[in-house]
Amino acid sequence: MSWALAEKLKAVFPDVELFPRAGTEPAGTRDQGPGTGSGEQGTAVPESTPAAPRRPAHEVPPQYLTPGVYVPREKLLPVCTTLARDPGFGLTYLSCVSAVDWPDRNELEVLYHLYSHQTRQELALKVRIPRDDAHIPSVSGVWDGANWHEREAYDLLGITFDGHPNLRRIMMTDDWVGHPLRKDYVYQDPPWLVEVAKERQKDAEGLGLGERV
Amino acid sequence: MALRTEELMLNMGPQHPSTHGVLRMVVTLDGENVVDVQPDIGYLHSSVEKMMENRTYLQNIALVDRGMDYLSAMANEEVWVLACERLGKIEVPERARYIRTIMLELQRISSHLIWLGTFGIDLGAFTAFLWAMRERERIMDLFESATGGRLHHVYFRIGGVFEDLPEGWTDRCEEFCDYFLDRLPEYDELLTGNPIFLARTQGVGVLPLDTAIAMGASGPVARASGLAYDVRKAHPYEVYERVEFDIPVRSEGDCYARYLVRLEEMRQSVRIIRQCLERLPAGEIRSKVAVTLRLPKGEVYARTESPRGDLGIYLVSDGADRPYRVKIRAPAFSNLYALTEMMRGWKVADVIAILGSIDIVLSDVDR
Repeated sequence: MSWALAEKLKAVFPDVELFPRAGTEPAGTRDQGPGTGSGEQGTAVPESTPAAPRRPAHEVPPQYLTPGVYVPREKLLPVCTTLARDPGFGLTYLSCVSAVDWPDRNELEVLYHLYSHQTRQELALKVRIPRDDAHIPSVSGVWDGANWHEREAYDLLGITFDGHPNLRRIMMTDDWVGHPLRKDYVYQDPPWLVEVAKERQKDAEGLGLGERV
Repeated sequence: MALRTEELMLNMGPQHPSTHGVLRMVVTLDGENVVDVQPDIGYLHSSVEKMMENRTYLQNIALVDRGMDYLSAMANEEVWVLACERLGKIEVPERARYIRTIMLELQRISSHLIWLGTFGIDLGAFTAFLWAMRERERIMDLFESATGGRLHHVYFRIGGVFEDLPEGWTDRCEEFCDYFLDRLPEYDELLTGNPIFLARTQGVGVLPLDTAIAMGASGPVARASGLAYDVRKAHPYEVYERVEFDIPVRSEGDCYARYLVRLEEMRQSVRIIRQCLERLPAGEIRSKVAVTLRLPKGEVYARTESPRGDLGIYLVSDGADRPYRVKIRAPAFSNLYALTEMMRGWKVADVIAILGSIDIVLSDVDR
Protein backbone atom coordinates (compact mmCIF):
# COMPACT_ATOMS: atom_id res chain seq x y z
CA MET A 1 0.00 0.00 0.00
CA SER A 2 2.23 2.76 -1.20
CA TRP A 3 1.48 6.20 -2.51
CA ALA A 4 4.86 6.43 -4.25
CA LEU A 5 3.40 5.72 -7.67
CA ALA A 6 0.70 8.33 -7.24
CA GLU A 7 3.26 10.96 -6.26
CA LYS A 8 5.51 9.97 -9.14
CA LEU A 9 2.60 10.39 -11.52
CA LYS A 10 1.84 13.79 -10.06
CA ALA A 11 5.42 14.82 -10.84
CA VAL A 12 5.01 13.86 -14.49
CA PHE A 13 1.45 15.13 -14.91
CA PRO A 14 0.83 18.12 -12.62
CA ASP A 15 -2.86 18.11 -13.66
CA VAL A 16 -3.66 14.99 -11.68
CA GLU A 17 -4.83 15.31 -8.11
CA LEU A 18 -4.12 12.76 -5.37
CA PHE A 19 -6.98 11.17 -3.43
CA PRO A 20 -7.34 12.80 -0.03
CA ARG A 21 -5.26 10.69 2.30
CA ALA A 22 -6.51 9.55 5.67
CA GLY A 23 -3.21 10.66 7.21
CA THR A 24 -4.03 14.31 6.44
CA GLU A 25 -6.98 14.24 8.81
CA PRO A 26 -6.61 16.47 11.87
CA ALA A 27 -5.23 14.67 14.90
CA GLY A 28 -7.51 13.58 17.70
CA THR A 29 -10.18 11.93 15.59
CA ARG A 30 -11.19 8.47 16.60
CA ASP A 31 -10.25 6.94 13.23
CA GLN A 32 -6.94 5.24 13.11
CA GLY A 33 -4.76 6.30 10.23
CA PRO A 34 -5.02 3.50 7.71
CA GLY A 35 -1.96 4.86 5.95
CA THR A 36 0.18 3.58 8.80
CA GLY A 37 -1.16 0.05 8.70
CA SER A 38 0.05 -2.64 6.35
CA GLY A 39 -3.30 -2.94 4.64
CA GLU A 40 -4.44 -5.59 7.07
CA GLN A 41 -7.42 -5.19 9.34
CA GLY A 42 -6.92 -2.63 12.08
CA THR A 43 -7.86 -3.08 15.68
CA ALA A 44 -10.81 -0.81 16.29
CA VAL A 45 -14.39 -1.91 15.91
CA PRO A 46 -16.19 1.34 15.11
CA GLU A 47 -19.55 0.21 16.51
CA SER A 48 -18.19 -0.72 19.91
CA THR A 49 -15.84 2.18 20.61
CA PRO A 50 -17.91 5.10 21.80
CA ALA A 51 -14.79 6.81 23.20
CA ALA A 52 -14.73 9.97 21.09
CA PRO A 53 -17.95 11.82 20.31
CA ARG A 54 -19.26 10.86 16.92
CA ARG A 55 -18.95 13.59 14.37
CA PRO A 56 -21.87 14.32 12.05
CA ALA A 57 -21.70 12.08 9.01
CA HIS A 58 -21.20 14.89 6.54
CA GLU A 59 -18.09 16.08 8.37
CA VAL A 60 -16.29 12.76 8.30
CA PRO A 61 -14.04 12.69 5.27
CA PRO A 62 -14.36 9.54 3.18
CA GLN A 63 -11.55 7.03 3.40
CA TYR A 64 -9.66 5.92 0.34
CA LEU A 65 -7.86 2.70 1.11
CA THR A 66 -6.34 2.31 -2.35
CA PRO A 67 -3.75 4.86 -3.44
CA GLY A 68 -5.02 6.74 -6.42
CA VAL A 69 -5.37 9.96 -8.35
CA TYR A 70 -8.07 12.02 -10.02
CA VAL A 71 -7.34 12.45 -13.70
CA PRO A 72 -8.95 15.12 -15.90
CA ARG A 73 -10.83 13.58 -18.78
CA GLU A 74 -8.60 15.13 -21.48
CA LYS A 75 -5.48 13.75 -19.85
CA LEU A 76 -6.71 10.18 -19.43
CA LEU A 77 -5.13 8.70 -22.55
CA PRO A 78 -1.64 10.21 -22.11
CA VAL A 79 -1.66 9.29 -18.42
CA CYS A 80 -2.71 5.71 -19.14
CA THR A 81 -0.19 5.30 -21.94
CA THR A 82 2.59 6.49 -19.65
CA LEU A 83 1.49 4.25 -16.80
CA ALA A 84 1.30 1.17 -19.00
CA ARG A 85 4.30 1.67 -21.29
CA ASP A 86 6.81 3.48 -19.09
CA PRO A 87 8.87 0.83 -17.23
CA GLY A 88 9.14 3.27 -14.32
CA PHE A 89 5.45 2.69 -13.65
CA GLY A 90 4.94 -0.71 -15.28
CA LEU A 91 1.21 -0.88 -14.56
CA THR A 92 0.59 -3.45 -17.26
CA TYR A 93 -2.44 -5.08 -15.71
CA LEU A 94 -5.87 -3.51 -15.61
CA SER A 95 -7.89 -5.21 -12.89
CA CYS A 96 -11.18 -3.63 -13.73
CA VAL A 97 -13.04 -0.61 -14.98
CA SER A 98 -15.95 0.43 -12.83
CA ALA A 99 -18.15 3.46 -12.55
CA VAL A 100 -20.22 5.06 -9.83
CA ASP A 101 -23.23 7.30 -10.32
CA TRP A 102 -23.58 10.37 -8.07
CA PRO A 103 -26.81 12.07 -9.14
CA ASP A 104 -26.74 14.77 -6.45
CA ARG A 105 -23.37 15.97 -7.73
CA ASN A 106 -24.51 15.39 -11.32
CA GLU A 107 -21.41 13.32 -11.79
CA LEU A 108 -20.25 9.92 -12.89
CA GLU A 109 -16.97 8.59 -11.60
CA VAL A 110 -15.11 6.16 -13.82
CA LEU A 111 -12.52 4.07 -12.05
CA TYR A 112 -9.53 2.15 -13.31
CA HIS A 113 -7.79 -0.22 -10.92
CA LEU A 114 -4.27 -0.79 -12.17
CA TYR A 115 -1.70 -3.25 -10.96
CA SER A 116 1.94 -4.04 -11.59
CA HIS A 117 2.99 -7.68 -11.35
CA GLN A 118 6.65 -6.71 -11.07
CA THR A 119 6.50 -4.28 -8.17
CA ARG A 120 3.16 -5.49 -6.76
CA GLN A 121 1.94 -1.93 -6.55
CA GLU A 122 -1.54 -0.79 -7.29
CA LEU A 123 -2.99 2.51 -8.36
CA ALA A 124 -6.54 3.67 -8.90
CA LEU A 125 -7.43 6.30 -11.47
CA LYS A 126 -10.63 8.22 -11.11
CA VAL A 127 -12.17 10.37 -13.79
CA ARG A 128 -15.15 12.59 -13.01
CA ILE A 129 -17.46 13.26 -15.89
CA PRO A 130 -20.80 15.09 -15.98
CA ARG A 131 -23.85 12.84 -16.09
CA ASP A 132 -25.38 14.55 -19.09
CA ASP A 133 -22.16 14.38 -21.11
CA ALA A 134 -21.00 10.88 -20.27
CA HIS A 135 -18.17 10.57 -22.75
CA ILE A 136 -14.70 9.34 -21.98
CA PRO A 137 -11.83 8.12 -24.16
CA SER A 138 -11.53 4.34 -24.36
CA VAL A 139 -8.36 2.80 -22.94
CA SER A 140 -8.84 -0.50 -24.76
CA GLY A 141 -5.93 0.47 -27.00
CA VAL A 142 -3.66 0.65 -23.96
CA TRP A 143 -4.92 -2.42 -22.10
CA ASP A 144 -6.70 -4.87 -24.35
CA GLY A 145 -8.57 -6.30 -21.38
CA ALA A 146 -10.48 -3.04 -20.94
CA ASN A 147 -12.65 -3.96 -23.91
CA TRP A 148 -15.33 -5.94 -22.09
CA HIS A 149 -15.13 -3.93 -18.90
CA GLU A 150 -15.89 -0.77 -20.86
CA ARG A 151 -18.74 -2.48 -22.65
CA GLU A 152 -20.14 -3.40 -19.26
CA ALA A 153 -19.87 0.18 -17.98
CA TYR A 154 -21.54 1.38 -21.18
CA ASP A 155 -24.32 -1.14 -20.80
CA LEU A 156 -25.06 -0.70 -17.10
CA LEU A 157 -24.21 2.98 -16.56
CA GLY A 158 -24.52 4.53 -19.99
CA ILE A 159 -20.98 5.82 -20.37
CA THR A 160 -19.81 6.21 -23.94
CA PHE A 161 -16.21 5.20 -24.43
CA ASP A 162 -14.97 7.12 -27.46
CA GLY A 163 -12.76 5.06 -29.76
CA HIS A 164 -13.94 1.72 -28.42
CA PRO A 165 -13.76 -0.92 -31.18
CA ASN A 166 -17.06 -2.60 -30.38
CA LEU A 167 -19.23 -0.59 -28.03
CA ARG A 168 -22.38 -2.69 -27.71
CA ARG A 169 -24.42 -3.84 -24.75
CA ILE A 170 -22.86 -6.89 -23.17
CA MET A 171 -25.11 -7.98 -20.29
CA MET A 172 -28.54 -6.65 -21.24
CA THR A 173 -30.26 -7.34 -24.55
CA ASP A 174 -29.54 -5.00 -27.44
CA ASP A 175 -33.02 -3.45 -27.32
CA TRP A 176 -32.95 -2.72 -23.59
CA VAL A 177 -33.98 0.78 -22.55
CA GLY A 178 -32.04 2.56 -19.85
CA HIS A 179 -28.94 1.76 -17.84
CA PRO A 180 -29.74 -0.28 -14.72
CA LEU A 181 -26.91 0.83 -12.45
CA ARG A 182 -27.78 4.51 -12.70
CA LYS A 183 -29.36 5.59 -9.46
CA ASP A 184 -32.45 7.03 -11.12
CA TYR A 185 -33.14 3.94 -13.18
CA VAL A 186 -36.65 2.58 -12.83
CA TYR A 187 -37.38 -0.87 -14.13
CA GLN A 188 -39.99 -1.11 -16.84
CA ASP A 189 -41.22 -4.24 -18.51
CA PRO A 190 -39.95 -4.33 -22.08
CA PRO A 191 -42.76 -3.97 -24.69
CA TRP A 192 -42.61 -7.61 -25.76
CA LEU A 193 -43.16 -8.72 -22.18
CA VAL A 194 -46.19 -6.43 -21.84
CA GLU A 195 -47.60 -8.03 -25.00
CA VAL A 196 -47.04 -11.52 -23.65
CA ALA A 197 -48.78 -10.59 -20.41
CA LYS A 198 -51.78 -9.21 -22.35
CA GLU A 199 -52.00 -12.41 -24.40
CA ARG A 200 -51.94 -14.51 -21.26
CA GLN A 201 -54.62 -12.37 -19.72
CA LYS A 202 -56.83 -12.93 -22.76
CA ASP A 203 -56.24 -16.68 -22.57
CA ALA A 204 -57.09 -16.73 -18.91
CA GLU A 205 -60.31 -14.80 -19.49
CA GLY A 206 -61.27 -17.20 -22.28
CA LEU A 207 -60.94 -20.11 -19.89
CA GLY A 208 -63.12 -18.39 -17.35
CA LEU A 209 -60.33 -18.27 -14.79
CA GLY A 210 -61.03 -14.68 -13.97
CA GLU A 211 -58.57 -11.89 -13.73
CA ARG A 212 -54.99 -12.71 -12.98
CA VAL A 213 -53.37 -10.46 -10.50
CA MET B 1 -8.80 -25.03 -60.92
CA ALA B 2 -9.45 -22.83 -57.94
CA LEU B 3 -12.43 -23.82 -55.87
CA ARG B 4 -14.48 -20.99 -54.42
CA THR B 5 -14.70 -21.37 -50.65
CA GLU B 6 -16.66 -19.40 -48.13
CA GLU B 7 -16.28 -18.82 -44.44
CA LEU B 8 -18.85 -20.55 -42.33
CA MET B 9 -20.52 -19.07 -39.28
CA LEU B 10 -21.18 -21.63 -36.61
CA ASN B 11 -23.42 -20.77 -33.69
CA MET B 12 -22.60 -22.68 -30.51
CA GLY B 13 -24.92 -22.24 -27.58
CA PRO B 14 -26.43 -20.67 -25.57
CA GLN B 15 -27.64 -24.19 -24.90
CA HIS B 16 -24.86 -26.56 -25.73
CA PRO B 17 -23.48 -29.25 -23.45
CA SER B 18 -19.89 -28.16 -23.88
CA THR B 19 -20.30 -24.49 -23.02
CA HIS B 20 -20.62 -25.12 -19.27
CA GLY B 21 -23.74 -23.05 -18.85
CA VAL B 22 -25.41 -20.49 -21.01
CA LEU B 23 -22.62 -19.13 -23.17
CA ARG B 24 -23.05 -18.47 -26.85
CA MET B 25 -20.06 -18.51 -29.16
CA VAL B 26 -20.21 -17.30 -32.71
CA VAL B 27 -17.42 -19.20 -34.42
CA THR B 28 -16.20 -18.19 -37.86
CA LEU B 29 -14.77 -21.18 -39.66
CA ASP B 30 -12.69 -21.58 -42.76
CA GLY B 31 -13.12 -25.26 -43.45
CA GLU B 32 -12.20 -26.78 -40.14
CA ASN B 33 -9.99 -23.89 -39.02
CA VAL B 34 -11.21 -21.33 -36.56
CA VAL B 35 -10.84 -17.82 -37.97
CA ASP B 36 -12.57 -15.94 -35.18
CA VAL B 37 -14.63 -16.56 -32.07
CA GLN B 38 -16.94 -14.03 -30.51
CA PRO B 39 -18.30 -15.06 -27.13
CA ASP B 40 -21.75 -13.66 -26.44
CA ILE B 41 -22.48 -13.42 -22.74
CA GLY B 42 -25.19 -12.00 -20.53
CA TYR B 43 -27.69 -14.88 -20.62
CA LEU B 44 -27.26 -15.38 -16.89
CA HIS B 45 -27.06 -11.72 -15.93
CA SER B 46 -28.95 -11.20 -12.71
CA SER B 47 -27.74 -7.69 -11.88
CA VAL B 48 -26.18 -8.72 -8.59
CA GLU B 49 -24.43 -5.37 -8.27
CA LYS B 50 -27.80 -3.58 -8.38
CA MET B 51 -29.39 -5.97 -5.92
CA MET B 52 -26.54 -5.50 -3.49
CA GLU B 53 -27.28 -1.79 -3.30
CA ASN B 54 -30.67 -2.64 -1.80
CA ARG B 55 -29.54 -5.09 0.86
CA THR B 56 -27.74 -4.60 4.13
CA TYR B 57 -24.14 -5.67 4.51
CA LEU B 58 -25.19 -8.83 6.31
CA GLN B 59 -27.87 -9.78 3.81
CA ASN B 60 -25.39 -9.41 1.01
CA ILE B 61 -23.39 -12.39 2.28
CA ALA B 62 -26.25 -14.63 1.25
CA LEU B 63 -26.55 -12.84 -2.06
CA VAL B 64 -22.92 -13.14 -3.19
CA ASP B 65 -23.14 -16.86 -2.45
CA ARG B 66 -25.78 -17.35 -5.10
CA GLY B 67 -25.38 -14.41 -7.41
CA MET B 68 -21.72 -14.87 -8.15
CA ASP B 69 -19.70 -17.97 -8.89
CA TYR B 70 -21.91 -20.77 -7.57
CA LEU B 71 -19.15 -23.37 -7.57
CA SER B 72 -17.04 -21.47 -5.07
CA ALA B 73 -19.47 -19.77 -2.74
CA MET B 74 -16.93 -19.49 0.08
CA ALA B 75 -14.57 -17.52 -2.12
CA ASN B 76 -17.35 -15.03 -2.87
CA GLU B 77 -18.21 -14.66 0.79
CA GLU B 78 -14.55 -14.13 1.56
CA VAL B 79 -14.06 -11.24 -0.84
CA TRP B 80 -17.24 -9.57 0.35
CA VAL B 81 -16.51 -9.80 4.09
CA LEU B 82 -12.88 -8.85 3.47
CA ALA B 83 -13.92 -5.62 1.73
CA CYS B 84 -16.33 -4.77 4.55
CA GLU B 85 -13.78 -5.56 7.25
CA ARG B 86 -11.10 -3.45 5.65
CA LEU B 87 -13.36 -0.46 5.25
CA GLY B 88 -14.81 -0.77 8.73
CA LYS B 89 -11.47 -1.76 10.29
CA ILE B 90 -13.15 -4.72 11.91
CA GLU B 91 -10.97 -7.22 13.67
CA VAL B 92 -11.30 -10.94 12.99
CA PRO B 93 -10.36 -13.42 15.74
CA GLU B 94 -7.45 -15.74 15.02
CA ARG B 95 -9.51 -18.89 15.10
CA ALA B 96 -11.96 -17.52 12.57
CA ARG B 97 -9.15 -16.60 10.23
CA TYR B 98 -7.79 -20.14 10.34
CA ILE B 99 -11.23 -21.64 9.82
CA ARG B 100 -11.79 -19.37 6.86
CA THR B 101 -8.50 -20.38 5.28
CA ILE B 102 -9.34 -24.07 5.67
CA MET B 103 -12.77 -23.53 4.11
CA LEU B 104 -11.36 -21.51 1.25
CA GLU B 105 -8.86 -24.20 0.36
CA LEU B 106 -11.45 -26.96 0.60
CA GLN B 107 -13.55 -24.84 -1.73
CA ARG B 108 -10.63 -24.53 -4.12
CA ILE B 109 -10.22 -28.30 -4.25
CA SER B 110 -13.92 -28.88 -4.77
CA SER B 111 -14.09 -26.27 -7.53
CA HIS B 112 -11.03 -27.69 -9.28
CA LEU B 113 -12.52 -31.17 -9.04
CA ILE B 114 -15.66 -30.05 -10.84
CA TRP B 115 -13.47 -28.49 -13.48
CA LEU B 116 -11.38 -31.65 -13.80
CA GLY B 117 -14.46 -33.79 -14.21
CA THR B 118 -16.15 -31.61 -16.79
CA PHE B 119 -12.90 -31.09 -18.67
CA GLY B 120 -12.61 -34.87 -18.87
CA ILE B 121 -16.14 -35.12 -20.26
CA ASP B 122 -15.34 -32.44 -22.84
CA LEU B 123 -12.49 -34.63 -24.06
CA GLY B 124 -14.43 -37.87 -23.88
CA ALA B 125 -12.94 -39.20 -20.65
CA PHE B 126 -16.01 -39.92 -18.60
CA THR B 127 -14.34 -41.82 -15.78
CA ALA B 128 -12.55 -38.73 -14.53
CA PHE B 129 -15.91 -37.07 -13.92
CA LEU B 130 -17.19 -39.88 -11.74
CA TRP B 131 -14.00 -40.00 -9.74
CA ALA B 132 -13.86 -36.25 -9.26
CA MET B 133 -17.47 -36.15 -8.08
CA ARG B 134 -16.73 -38.93 -5.63
CA GLU B 135 -13.98 -36.88 -3.99
CA ARG B 136 -16.02 -33.71 -4.13
CA GLU B 137 -18.85 -35.43 -2.30
CA ARG B 138 -16.58 -35.85 0.73
CA ILE B 139 -15.86 -32.12 0.71
CA MET B 140 -19.57 -31.37 0.41
CA ASP B 141 -20.16 -33.53 3.47
CA LEU B 142 -17.51 -31.60 5.38
CA PHE B 143 -19.13 -28.33 4.37
CA GLU B 144 -22.56 -29.57 5.25
CA SER B 145 -21.60 -30.63 8.74
CA ALA B 146 -19.88 -27.32 9.46
CA THR B 147 -22.15 -24.85 7.71
CA GLY B 148 -25.42 -26.62 7.02
CA GLY B 149 -25.19 -25.96 3.31
CA ARG B 150 -23.57 -27.93 0.56
CA LEU B 151 -23.30 -25.32 -2.16
CA HIS B 152 -24.45 -22.08 -0.58
CA HIS B 153 -23.07 -21.86 2.91
CA VAL B 154 -23.64 -18.31 4.18
CA TYR B 155 -20.98 -19.22 6.70
CA PHE B 156 -18.63 -16.25 6.82
CA ARG B 157 -19.68 -13.20 8.77
CA ILE B 158 -18.26 -9.72 8.86
CA GLY B 159 -15.83 -10.12 11.74
CA GLY B 160 -15.61 -13.91 11.82
CA VAL B 161 -17.59 -17.00 10.94
CA PHE B 162 -21.14 -17.98 11.86
CA GLU B 163 -20.50 -21.01 14.04
CA ASP B 164 -17.60 -22.95 15.43
CA LEU B 165 -16.59 -26.23 13.83
CA PRO B 166 -18.62 -29.19 15.09
CA GLU B 167 -17.16 -31.91 17.25
CA GLY B 168 -14.70 -34.13 15.39
CA TRP B 169 -14.71 -31.99 12.26
CA THR B 170 -10.96 -31.43 12.24
CA ASP B 171 -10.34 -35.19 12.44
CA ARG B 172 -12.65 -35.81 9.53
CA CYS B 173 -10.96 -33.04 7.58
CA GLU B 174 -7.58 -34.61 8.31
CA GLU B 175 -8.93 -37.93 7.12
CA PHE B 176 -10.09 -36.36 3.93
CA CYS B 177 -6.63 -34.87 3.30
CA ASP B 178 -5.01 -38.30 3.57
CA TYR B 179 -7.68 -39.85 1.42
CA PHE B 180 -7.41 -37.17 -1.22
CA LEU B 181 -3.63 -37.35 -1.53
CA ASP B 182 -4.01 -41.09 -2.07
CA ARG B 183 -6.46 -40.46 -4.87
CA LEU B 184 -4.52 -37.79 -6.73
CA PRO B 185 -2.01 -40.23 -8.31
CA GLU B 186 -5.01 -42.00 -9.83
CA TYR B 187 -5.75 -38.90 -11.87
CA ASP B 188 -2.18 -38.95 -13.09
CA GLU B 189 -2.70 -42.50 -14.29
CA LEU B 190 -6.05 -41.71 -15.81
CA LEU B 191 -5.25 -38.43 -17.57
CA THR B 192 -1.68 -37.17 -17.25
CA GLY B 193 -0.20 -40.16 -19.04
CA ASN B 194 -3.14 -40.79 -21.33
CA PRO B 195 -2.03 -40.48 -24.99
CA ILE B 196 -5.48 -39.36 -26.17
CA PHE B 197 -5.65 -36.70 -23.47
CA LEU B 198 -2.15 -35.52 -24.32
CA ALA B 199 -2.93 -35.32 -28.02
CA ARG B 200 -6.01 -33.20 -27.32
CA THR B 201 -4.34 -30.79 -24.90
CA GLN B 202 -0.59 -30.53 -25.43
CA GLY B 203 0.32 -27.47 -27.45
CA VAL B 204 -3.36 -26.63 -28.00
CA GLY B 205 -4.77 -23.16 -27.31
CA VAL B 206 -1.55 -21.41 -26.41
CA LEU B 207 -1.91 -18.07 -24.62
CA PRO B 208 1.40 -16.15 -24.64
CA LEU B 209 2.42 -14.40 -21.44
CA ASP B 210 2.24 -10.80 -22.68
CA THR B 211 -1.20 -11.39 -24.20
CA ALA B 212 -2.40 -12.94 -20.97
CA ILE B 213 -1.35 -9.86 -18.99
CA ALA B 214 -2.72 -7.39 -21.51
CA MET B 215 -6.08 -9.17 -21.59
CA GLY B 216 -6.32 -9.21 -17.82
CA ALA B 217 -6.20 -12.97 -17.42
CA SER B 218 -5.48 -14.24 -13.94
CA GLY B 219 -5.54 -17.35 -11.83
CA PRO B 220 -4.54 -20.74 -13.21
CA VAL B 221 -4.99 -19.48 -16.78
CA ALA B 222 -2.31 -16.81 -16.33
CA ARG B 223 -0.08 -19.02 -14.21
CA ALA B 224 -0.07 -21.66 -16.95
CA SER B 225 1.27 -18.93 -19.25
CA GLY B 226 4.17 -18.17 -16.92
CA LEU B 227 2.78 -15.36 -14.77
CA ALA B 228 3.90 -16.06 -11.21
CA TYR B 229 1.06 -14.11 -9.62
CA ASP B 230 -1.20 -15.35 -6.90
CA VAL B 231 -3.02 -12.92 -4.61
CA ARG B 232 -2.50 -15.30 -1.72
CA LYS B 233 1.23 -14.68 -2.03
CA ALA B 234 1.32 -11.14 -3.39
CA HIS B 235 -1.23 -9.61 -1.01
CA PRO B 236 -1.86 -12.20 1.70
CA TYR B 237 -5.17 -12.16 3.49
CA GLU B 238 -6.44 -14.39 6.32
CA VAL B 239 -3.47 -16.56 7.37
CA TYR B 240 -1.85 -17.18 4.00
CA GLU B 241 1.34 -15.38 4.98
CA ARG B 242 1.88 -17.84 7.81
CA VAL B 243 1.56 -21.09 5.88
CA GLU B 244 4.00 -22.57 3.43
CA PHE B 245 2.84 -23.37 -0.05
CA ASP B 246 4.11 -23.12 -3.59
CA ILE B 247 2.54 -21.49 -6.59
CA PRO B 248 2.70 -23.82 -9.57
CA VAL B 249 3.72 -21.92 -12.70
CA ARG B 250 4.14 -23.35 -16.20
CA SER B 251 5.50 -21.56 -19.21
CA GLU B 252 3.79 -23.46 -22.04
CA GLY B 253 0.45 -21.66 -21.85
CA ASP B 254 -1.47 -24.53 -23.46
CA CYS B 255 -4.45 -26.55 -22.24
CA TYR B 256 -2.15 -29.17 -20.77
CA ALA B 257 -0.27 -26.59 -18.71
CA ARG B 258 -3.56 -25.26 -17.34
CA TYR B 259 -4.47 -28.80 -16.38
CA LEU B 260 -1.14 -29.39 -14.63
CA VAL B 261 -1.32 -26.09 -12.76
CA ARG B 262 -4.74 -26.91 -11.32
CA LEU B 263 -3.74 -30.44 -10.40
CA GLU B 264 -0.73 -29.13 -8.48
CA GLU B 265 -2.84 -26.41 -6.85
CA MET B 266 -5.02 -29.09 -5.30
CA ARG B 267 -1.93 -30.69 -3.76
CA GLN B 268 -0.85 -27.31 -2.40
CA SER B 269 -4.31 -26.70 -0.99
CA VAL B 270 -4.07 -29.92 0.99
CA ARG B 271 -0.73 -28.70 2.27
CA ILE B 272 -2.29 -25.44 3.46
CA ILE B 273 -5.24 -27.21 5.08
CA ARG B 274 -2.95 -29.53 7.01
CA GLN B 275 -0.84 -26.68 8.35
CA CYS B 276 -3.96 -24.75 9.39
CA LEU B 277 -5.46 -27.77 11.14
CA GLU B 278 -2.22 -28.27 13.03
CA ARG B 279 -2.10 -24.68 14.26
CA LEU B 280 -5.82 -24.03 14.67
CA PRO B 281 -6.02 -21.94 17.84
CA ALA B 282 -8.84 -22.04 20.34
CA GLY B 283 -10.84 -18.96 21.16
CA GLU B 284 -13.48 -16.63 19.81
CA ILE B 285 -14.87 -17.14 16.33
CA ARG B 286 -16.57 -13.80 15.81
CA SER B 287 -16.01 -10.26 16.98
CA LYS B 288 -18.96 -8.13 17.97
CA VAL B 289 -20.44 -6.50 14.91
CA ALA B 290 -23.85 -4.89 14.83
CA VAL B 291 -26.45 -6.61 12.65
CA THR B 292 -27.32 -3.22 11.19
CA LEU B 293 -23.71 -2.46 10.43
CA ARG B 294 -22.94 0.96 9.02
CA LEU B 295 -19.58 1.23 7.37
CA PRO B 296 -17.78 4.57 7.40
CA LYS B 297 -17.89 6.72 4.31
CA GLY B 298 -15.23 5.70 1.86
CA GLU B 299 -14.23 3.10 -0.65
CA VAL B 300 -12.06 0.03 -0.77
CA TYR B 301 -10.87 -2.43 -3.35
CA ALA B 302 -10.30 -5.91 -1.95
CA ARG B 303 -8.72 -8.64 -4.02
CA THR B 304 -8.59 -12.34 -3.32
CA GLU B 305 -7.56 -15.46 -5.18
CA SER B 306 -10.68 -17.42 -6.01
CA PRO B 307 -10.33 -20.84 -7.67
CA ARG B 308 -10.73 -19.04 -10.98
CA GLY B 309 -8.35 -16.18 -10.39
CA ASP B 310 -8.15 -12.61 -9.19
CA LEU B 311 -11.55 -11.94 -7.63
CA GLY B 312 -12.00 -8.35 -6.51
CA ILE B 313 -14.72 -6.21 -5.00
CA TYR B 314 -14.80 -2.45 -5.21
CA LEU B 315 -17.05 -1.22 -2.44
CA VAL B 316 -18.27 2.34 -2.02
CA SER B 317 -20.01 3.29 1.19
CA ASP B 318 -21.80 6.56 1.85
CA GLY B 319 -22.26 5.82 5.54
CA ALA B 320 -25.65 4.16 5.21
CA ASP B 321 -26.55 0.65 6.32
CA ARG B 322 -26.22 -0.70 2.80
CA PRO B 323 -23.51 -0.27 0.19
CA TYR B 324 -23.74 2.66 -2.20
CA ARG B 325 -22.11 0.79 -5.03
CA VAL B 326 -20.47 -2.59 -5.43
CA LYS B 327 -18.45 -3.61 -8.42
CA ILE B 328 -17.42 -7.21 -8.74
CA ARG B 329 -14.26 -7.93 -10.66
CA ALA B 330 -15.00 -11.46 -11.80
CA PRO B 331 -11.99 -13.55 -12.80
CA ALA B 332 -13.89 -15.67 -15.30
CA PHE B 333 -15.10 -12.52 -17.10
CA SER B 334 -11.56 -11.46 -17.98
CA ASN B 335 -10.36 -15.01 -18.61
CA LEU B 336 -13.21 -15.54 -21.04
CA TYR B 337 -12.19 -12.41 -22.90
CA ALA B 338 -8.83 -14.05 -23.62
CA LEU B 339 -10.65 -16.95 -25.25
CA THR B 340 -10.65 -15.41 -28.73
CA GLU B 341 -6.88 -15.16 -28.64
CA MET B 342 -6.48 -18.76 -27.54
CA MET B 343 -8.78 -20.20 -30.17
CA ARG B 344 -7.72 -18.38 -33.30
CA GLY B 345 -6.06 -20.78 -35.75
CA TRP B 346 -7.12 -24.03 -34.11
CA LYS B 347 -9.49 -26.66 -35.44
CA VAL B 348 -13.17 -26.67 -34.61
CA ALA B 349 -12.72 -29.77 -32.44
CA ASP B 350 -10.21 -27.89 -30.29
CA VAL B 351 -12.80 -25.23 -29.45
CA ILE B 352 -14.31 -27.56 -26.87
CA ALA B 353 -10.95 -28.42 -25.33
CA ILE B 354 -9.82 -24.80 -25.09
CA LEU B 355 -13.10 -23.56 -23.65
CA GLY B 356 -13.05 -26.36 -21.11
CA SER B 357 -9.51 -25.56 -20.07
CA ILE B 358 -10.18 -21.97 -18.93
CA ASP B 359 -12.77 -23.06 -16.35
CA ILE B 360 -15.53 -20.52 -16.64
CA VAL B 361 -18.63 -20.35 -14.53
CA LEU B 362 -21.24 -18.33 -16.31
CA SER B 363 -22.80 -16.88 -13.21
CA ASP B 364 -19.38 -15.47 -12.42
CA VAL B 365 -19.03 -14.04 -15.93
CA ASP B 366 -22.50 -12.53 -16.10
CA ARG B 367 -23.25 -11.80 -12.47
